[in-house]
Amino acid sequence: MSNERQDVVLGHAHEADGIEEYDNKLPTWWVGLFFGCVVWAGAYLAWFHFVADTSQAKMYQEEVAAAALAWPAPTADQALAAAATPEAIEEGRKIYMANCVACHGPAMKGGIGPDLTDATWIHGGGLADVQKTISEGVPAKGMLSWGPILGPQKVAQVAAFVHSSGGGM
Amino acid sequence: MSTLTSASNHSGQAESGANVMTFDADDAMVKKFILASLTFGLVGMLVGVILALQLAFWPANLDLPWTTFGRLRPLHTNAVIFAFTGNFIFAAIYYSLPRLTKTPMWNQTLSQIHFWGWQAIIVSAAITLPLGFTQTHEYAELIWPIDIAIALVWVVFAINFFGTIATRKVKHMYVAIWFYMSMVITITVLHIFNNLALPATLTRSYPIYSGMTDALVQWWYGHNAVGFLLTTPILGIMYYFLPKSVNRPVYSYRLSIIHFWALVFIYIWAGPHHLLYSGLPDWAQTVGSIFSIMLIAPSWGGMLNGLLTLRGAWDRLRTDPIVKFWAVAVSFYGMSTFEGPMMSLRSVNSLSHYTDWTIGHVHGGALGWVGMAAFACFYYIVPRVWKTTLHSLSLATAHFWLATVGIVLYIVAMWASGITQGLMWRAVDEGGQLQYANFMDTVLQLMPFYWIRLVGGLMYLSGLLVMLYNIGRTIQTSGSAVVAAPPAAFAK
Amino acid sequence: MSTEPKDKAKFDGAPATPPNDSWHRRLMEGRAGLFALMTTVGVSIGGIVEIIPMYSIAAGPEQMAEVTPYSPLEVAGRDIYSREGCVQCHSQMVRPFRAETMRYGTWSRAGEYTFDRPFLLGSRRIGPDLHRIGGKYPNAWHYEHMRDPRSTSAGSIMPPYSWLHKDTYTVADVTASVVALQTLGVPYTDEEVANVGASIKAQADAIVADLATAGIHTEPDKEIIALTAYLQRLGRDGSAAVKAREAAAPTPL
Repeated sequence: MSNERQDVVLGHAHEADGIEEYDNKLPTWWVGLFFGCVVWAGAYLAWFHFVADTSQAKMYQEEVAAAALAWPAPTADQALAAAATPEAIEEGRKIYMANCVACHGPAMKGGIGPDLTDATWIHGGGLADVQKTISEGVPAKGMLSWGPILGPQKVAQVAAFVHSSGGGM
Repeated sequence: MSTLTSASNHSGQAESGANVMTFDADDAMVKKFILASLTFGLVGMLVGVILALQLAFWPANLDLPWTTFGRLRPLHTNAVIFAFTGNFIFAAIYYSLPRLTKTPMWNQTLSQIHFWGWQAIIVSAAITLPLGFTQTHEYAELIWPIDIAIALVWVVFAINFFGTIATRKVKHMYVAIWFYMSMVITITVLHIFNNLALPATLTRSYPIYSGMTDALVQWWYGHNAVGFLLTTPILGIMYYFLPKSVNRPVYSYRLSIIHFWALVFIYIWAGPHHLLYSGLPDWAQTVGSIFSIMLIAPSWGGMLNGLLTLRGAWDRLRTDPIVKFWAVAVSFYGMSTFEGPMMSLRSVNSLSHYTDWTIGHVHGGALGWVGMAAFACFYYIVPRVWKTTLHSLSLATAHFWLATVGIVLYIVAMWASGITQGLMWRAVDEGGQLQYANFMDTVLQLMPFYWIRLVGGLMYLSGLLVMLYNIGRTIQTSGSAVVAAPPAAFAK
Repeated sequence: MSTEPKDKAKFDGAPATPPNDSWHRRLMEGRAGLFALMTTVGVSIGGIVEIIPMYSIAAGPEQMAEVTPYSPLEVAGRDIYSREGCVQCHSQMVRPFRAETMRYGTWSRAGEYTFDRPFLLGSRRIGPDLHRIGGKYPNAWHYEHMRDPRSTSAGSIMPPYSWLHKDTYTVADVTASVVALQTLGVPYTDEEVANVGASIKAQADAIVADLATAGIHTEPDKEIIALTAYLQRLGRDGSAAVKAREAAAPTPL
């Protein structure tokens, strides 16, 4: 094959509206690419399904387990204690403005969700109560469970903000 | 009706000495398909620019039901795929198939039914999609009565196509015909099986497949509509028009055999790469990934045969816009067919999926490969079928640069936008929590890219307008050329 | 690159030696019927191998008993969701990544889509995923969000859908959909099909009453009510099914 002459026409032009064709040999790198991809495909299939158990369900479990090791979640009390500073409350205000205003309003006077500035606390007005309500939500009333979305630290910060700026007891 | 004549050789010098045929009736169809393609191309790309504006500036949705993004996007995709590209493919086939088989299209009545039927389908699509009549399957949105019309018109075309081949005056079929044939067969199969549905009303139906099965069938269709409407017929067109345009032999016949059959066999398997990390079984996802990787070499076989056929014609790259368009088209084909398999890898897909990277990828193929190939063919065919010379070489060159710079702006903006958003979705803070818990943060970040994309799209559209003017002026001088020898368009 | 073919003379005329035809040329290129047949076989294999097994899989281990068909009002809402092209910007598929389950909720399983005709997984998230939107916000939130998306989501680029608050759906139209779905095998009983109107009324009235408690007054036959019913249903059966399985199995799914 390597001794073949390049750029020799086949002489098929009379059947192709005058278009001639060479019959040049396939570039070696192209053949290598072709077979390389086929070999890789077989190897990937074998590894993914027969050697290692790499189902997406298992990969997900591993990712979650690794995250639990890397970022051990503070307990609710630890998070609240850390959120008692003015800086943390300011962080809480930012979180409130980004996530809570849609339902509770920029002035915390309520709207879709209840008023947070009055003395009425449907689910308890203590700091820990507010934290629990934000974290777990009130699914029956459409209040989201913010715990999984924001995490304990941010929940504590926004709870501290709501408690200090609203009508918390 | 064909007439044998040696007087006006529009099919190239290589046949000198033999009788040369003209195909006036078929060329009349070619003219119609070209004008339809240009018209609907303008509409489809204009709607695309409007959609780009809507994403950057939401009031452009106009607060009307039929002008919102959700209803207009299917109009854009259907117009550019089935109206612009579809009519372009038909024009190229009606031009090249009679010349390759040395016989006119089998039945001129079927040609007329094919043309007018296809345009009626497009018009009905343009009316029903903004009204919200849709099946929601991507690129198969059209409602069931239109789907039946598509099937009928497609069968009319298939009969005409195979009838022409059956009555061919040459023994062997040239490679371009193989690729055309793969389109005619595969699109028939895809269209029928993906649209099996039970009508509930005149405008609404429900698919016979449900859930993940419906998803798999749809992406089997969606991926291979790209494969066998936007790839293989364009490769067939390349195998005819590229060597014709540069008057050079095709680089390698044996490469064309291998990459043709490899594409035909492998392409079909890759659909599940649209459903990575979905409820699809892990094995099916893996099959989609590995067949996408195995597609790289067969796809690059086409690119190689295109680029290496241009060997020896590189000097004309500077002077001949047709060569410019082909060189860029084939390069974008090579780029997109590498990018696609990379995005089919689980690790890359976990970042790219659901982002603008996908949008950039599809436009690299659509604007770069299909669009540029279409422009190259229009500049080649129009002077020949209207028997004249192109109005302006410099306007064609201006079109080339507008289109090329437009594409680059478009896809670079979408890469940046897609990677930015993909990274923001997965970003976590030092406590392991989502850094951008508010989804809106990841949207507002994209606005600069959306404006850049709009500029890129506008440039591409402006290039099209330049071509429309150039072709319009060219048609005005119809019949002025007595003998057009290659390169006919630019004979000085 | 040379600018001249090496065999210029031959290119202009006939090749020096008669071509030795390849097997492909001898066997295939002269036979259009065989060529078409081989092409058909070539493009068919992949689809058959991938799609046929889905039927046994969908009927088997992926099924979730907790996942039940959409109510007639939810079917009407789903049709509106389709009509407005919501799927162009919103996915319904939470991927099995920690960053996605934190943002949206439990990742999506195949069995959850059993009654989805057509499927609405989507291909681009210009807006957030909606597979776990059901029950996430109150009805009033959806009502206001569709009227003016920026009233509930500052900075949103979603267009308003104000006509949903004026236009109405009809029981006859929904019945046609439910009948078609039943014919396709969705397990609606004949009694349920006969009572589509009553079912719609009960579910729509409840949403209207709930909206009234938030100070929003509207009628039960408005399209926004059907769309809200569908959105509030999305992904709830699946979450419940996954929770039940996790409670039953020692290792989570």
